[in-house]
Amino acid sequence: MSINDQVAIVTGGTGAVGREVVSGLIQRGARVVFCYRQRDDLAEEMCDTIADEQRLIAIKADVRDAEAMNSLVEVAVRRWERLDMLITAHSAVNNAPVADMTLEQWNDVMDVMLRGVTRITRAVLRPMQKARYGRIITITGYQPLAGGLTQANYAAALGGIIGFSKSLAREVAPWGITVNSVAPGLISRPHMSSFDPSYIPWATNIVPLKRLGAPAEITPAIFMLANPEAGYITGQVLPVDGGWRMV
Amino acid sequence: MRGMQDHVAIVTGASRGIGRAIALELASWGVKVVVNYQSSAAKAEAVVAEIQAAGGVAMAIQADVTDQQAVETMVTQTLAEWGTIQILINNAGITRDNLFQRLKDEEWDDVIKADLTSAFLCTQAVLPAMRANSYGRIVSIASLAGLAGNVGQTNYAAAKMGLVGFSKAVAREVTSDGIVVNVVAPGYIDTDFIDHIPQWLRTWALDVIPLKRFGKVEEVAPAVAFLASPAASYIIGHVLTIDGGWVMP
Repeated sequence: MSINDQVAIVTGGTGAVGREVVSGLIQRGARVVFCYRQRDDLAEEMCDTIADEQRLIAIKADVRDAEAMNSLVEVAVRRWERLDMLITAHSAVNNAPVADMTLEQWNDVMDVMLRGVTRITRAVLRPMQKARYGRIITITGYQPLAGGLTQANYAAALGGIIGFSKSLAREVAPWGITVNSVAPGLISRPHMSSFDPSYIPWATNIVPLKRLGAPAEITPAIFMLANPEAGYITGQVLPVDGGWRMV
Repeated sequence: MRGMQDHVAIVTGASRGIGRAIALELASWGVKVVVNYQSSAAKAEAVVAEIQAAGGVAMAIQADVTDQQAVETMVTQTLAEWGTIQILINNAGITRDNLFQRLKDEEWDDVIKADLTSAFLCTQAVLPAMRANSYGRIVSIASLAGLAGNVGQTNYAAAKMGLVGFSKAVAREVTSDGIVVNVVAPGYIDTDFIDHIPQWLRTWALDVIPLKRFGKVEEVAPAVAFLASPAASYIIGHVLTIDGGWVMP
């Protein structure tokens, strides 16, 4: 059993983790529709280099737009007549100390991160239920498990993703649909040069593996959970964190 | 009395259920309690009367905790009356249960606002007073539904697990100011929250809970009061489950 010829939807496809998810799915023989919000250049490059339009479709669509999420699903189902996997990899960060965080900052992150997951999930459930099969993998983070400085909104939204995923896992289990979350630990990101210079030494020191993770090291956990064989794993949160927290 | 004499607490959603029990418990530990409520004025006044009859100090303050202005006014009123705030219990919450595919947008939004955004607004509003004392205790009341998921509660579980993430993030930010943030996650507790759950769910729950019964609010409140006390000074960002052994995470 494998994901060869299966069909996936990926949100946030041009993000650091999203790109790895898309290219990894294609390498494993899957067909992918991904959405992205801003990076036309990256989306174009991905479509040029990763696969042709028989296997890969990029759509500029915002996870805040429920109609746009429905049409992502329509495109996949119309083109390939099936939908097996959803991986939510979109992200929105708007950090501030909690004392200074505005209600807009709070609501914006909540709307994209948490509500965005519910919008695309709502859209994929019908074809999955019809097929009595589905793999939904939501990407959360270490923040709901370990906190994160100046990330009260992000930690709340990612925690919400976990609570949502577990409840949904219970609701859709009768249709053979599994719902799991992957929680990346301290991962190296392209924008990390803007971080406090003490961050990287701190992070590398507290992780037993003594280094940050790479985005490509998150994806094996995602693909394991996306596999047909992972049918008895549901409602779980799998940290991929270099052994940082062994709880 | 356990170093909490003259501490001031705001307990949101304290007119009934777990919030009421927490207000009574804190008052019995010598804490002056703001009994916050949204609409049940008579019930809130009854809680105040019960505290006063037992020799405690309390006042009821009406405030919709999803309204930033109302929250700030509640905090201002508390400071005007008692001059200080040591304790915040983020307890207010609602349920709007529905299977995810039938869940209406407003059922999602109302629960996120009432159960999660409210904690953000209240926490933010009390921080200056706590920082001024270099001391504070914040306890947020989450739910086993957040930790373990629950059928028909995607919205509630998201809000409650969101509250866990929020609390841990804030815990890291404010420890250097002497402010301690923790979470209590009750399982099935006998309140009007579970009056309406279907019989099959009630039967199932009683079957999977090792103690074979629902909890009582009086079995939750003492743990909350402990985490709100000076003794809880090295417990940070913890989630304490009170669930009759249901999940054992």
